[in-house]
Amino acid sequence: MRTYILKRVIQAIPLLFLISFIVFLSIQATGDPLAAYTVDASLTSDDIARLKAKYGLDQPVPIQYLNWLKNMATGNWGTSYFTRESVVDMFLERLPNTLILFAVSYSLILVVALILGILTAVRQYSLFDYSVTALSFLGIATPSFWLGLMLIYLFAVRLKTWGLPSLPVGGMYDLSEGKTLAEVARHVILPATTLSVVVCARYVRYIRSSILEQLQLDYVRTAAAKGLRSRTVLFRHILKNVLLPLVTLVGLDLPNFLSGTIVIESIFAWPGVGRLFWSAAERTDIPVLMAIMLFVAVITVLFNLIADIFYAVVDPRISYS
Amino acid sequence: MTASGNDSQVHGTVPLANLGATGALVRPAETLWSSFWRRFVRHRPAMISLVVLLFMVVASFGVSLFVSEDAANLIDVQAMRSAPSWEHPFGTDDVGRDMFLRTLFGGQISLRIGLLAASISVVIGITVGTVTGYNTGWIDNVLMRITDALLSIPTLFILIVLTRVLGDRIGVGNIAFITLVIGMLSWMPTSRIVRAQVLSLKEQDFVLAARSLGCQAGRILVRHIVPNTLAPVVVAATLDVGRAIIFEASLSFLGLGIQPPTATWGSMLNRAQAYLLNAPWIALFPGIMILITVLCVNFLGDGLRDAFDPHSLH
Repeated sequence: MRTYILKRVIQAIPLLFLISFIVFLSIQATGDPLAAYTVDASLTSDDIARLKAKYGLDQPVPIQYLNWLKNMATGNWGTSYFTRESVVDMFLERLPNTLILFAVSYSLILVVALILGILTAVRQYSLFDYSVTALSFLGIATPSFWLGLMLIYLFAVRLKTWGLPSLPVGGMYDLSEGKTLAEVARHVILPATTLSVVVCARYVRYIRSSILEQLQLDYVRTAAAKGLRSRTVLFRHILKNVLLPLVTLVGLDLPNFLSGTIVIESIFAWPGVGRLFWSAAERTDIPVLMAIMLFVAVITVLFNLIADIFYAVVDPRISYS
Repeated sequence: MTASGNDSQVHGTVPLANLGATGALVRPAETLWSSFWRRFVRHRPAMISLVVLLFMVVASFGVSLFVSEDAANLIDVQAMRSAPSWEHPFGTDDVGRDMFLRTLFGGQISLRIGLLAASISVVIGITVGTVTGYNTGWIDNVLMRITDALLSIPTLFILIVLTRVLGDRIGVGNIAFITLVIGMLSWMPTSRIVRAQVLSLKEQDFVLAARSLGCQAGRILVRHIVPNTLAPVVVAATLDVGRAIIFEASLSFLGLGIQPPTATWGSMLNRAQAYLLNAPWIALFPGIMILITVLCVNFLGDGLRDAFDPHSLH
């Protein structure tokens, strides 16, 4: 198994290089970074050449790539074209907020999906099963940004006009209240719910069909034959086999979730990485865009790697050689 | 020889003609397509979805026969943000354009982008999948790593960067460009499906037979291998249509996709958030159309999957 883990790690390295190269090429595609200077008549061609040498732009492209890679790896992500702030600082300021959103969403997803998935499988073909299945089909087909708008309308706008307790339309906390735990909790409900619905709907479908599949297998019959209560069979035996592949599924879903944060953080004015990316896109702020894109891709690769390794460590049935 | 003759008729459930002469056990011979259709028709959600989708295509493209697109873009400040009524069944938007007409005309573009982007994705997916599945060598390695890399960068991030950076030059809101970009970023799952199929198909006896008869690799691929991979590809392609529609809607919603006054379901939602309090119908109808379309496309995919599977109970 150690060789398997080593092999997976070694496989991930060229992938990371390839991704960084794709991102680097997209920066190159944005055009000559000194184009703005060539318009300035007071600059001679000597000045331009000196600027090129200063920023290493006179080097061949592969060398430029390696320099850029070194800078990215050492945390030197450049400065924003617009705010002149360091990109690393801007990014690190936003990262915890996206992590809060991620943690709340995935706790919600896993708890709700598990409860609904188990209940629908246990009561297959009941009215409850049919309603949840219908709802999950709807959930999978719903565009998340539209769901966000509808939730704002219902829980923030309508409840307020009816004079009922309502949820905030956006932001992370009310300025009058300050950034307290209760305030952030109140503000995180709507964006987290919006991000959760689509993923949750898919997990409910997965858990339900996976439990039903396991029920057909011999080990379940054996467990029942030796007199175990059906609850014990479900929670001690079946669930283990259902939950393990879920780890891989969560890893594979991460890119989708991150894509979702761009739109949802923008709608709910949640000051996270997705919204930073979106405001950078609006201003074509290349250093910010590229840094976030590279970070997100690297995180995805690492997450999948961890999921694979976790799977190999936890599941004793598969021998890796 | 006779045995293989019977094998090729395996879908004709009554291969012996003389049984018919005795008058017993006659059942019309079933072709591949008639058995496919029989299973598909029994999948009720898929049938209903097919009808709904056809209706949407006819309605959104047929409306052009009666009114021109200018009617959908007509600004009427007098009728700004009026609620749904007989005159405006879906209400009007923030500058008084009729939401019903805009939903229909928007459907033309959203559906077209969905279908075309899915087609592009299928063509690239099949090509990359067969090439990497059939030649396992350095080409396979390089292409598979590129597939992995593209799968690791969340799609919406690349989409935004490409439409933003290149869009400045090509012109923001160019429909063909947006379709192309969405198509070129969605082929990876299809190529993986095709590759897995080709890897197992190329080891089978009928490929060996074709090769021993002197078939060129190209002919083996096109005539013998690719047709056998099509069933899962068609299912994946239907799901691609739904994904492409949602991607276009997200881009246009953010203001990077199709630009006003041209209506798409996403661009109609672009300014809806500002009017949630006074004119919620602006947000309601385009979203419902996206929801219905994607729902139907998903059911259609389910139905096709069952219909292609001879073991399915339907």
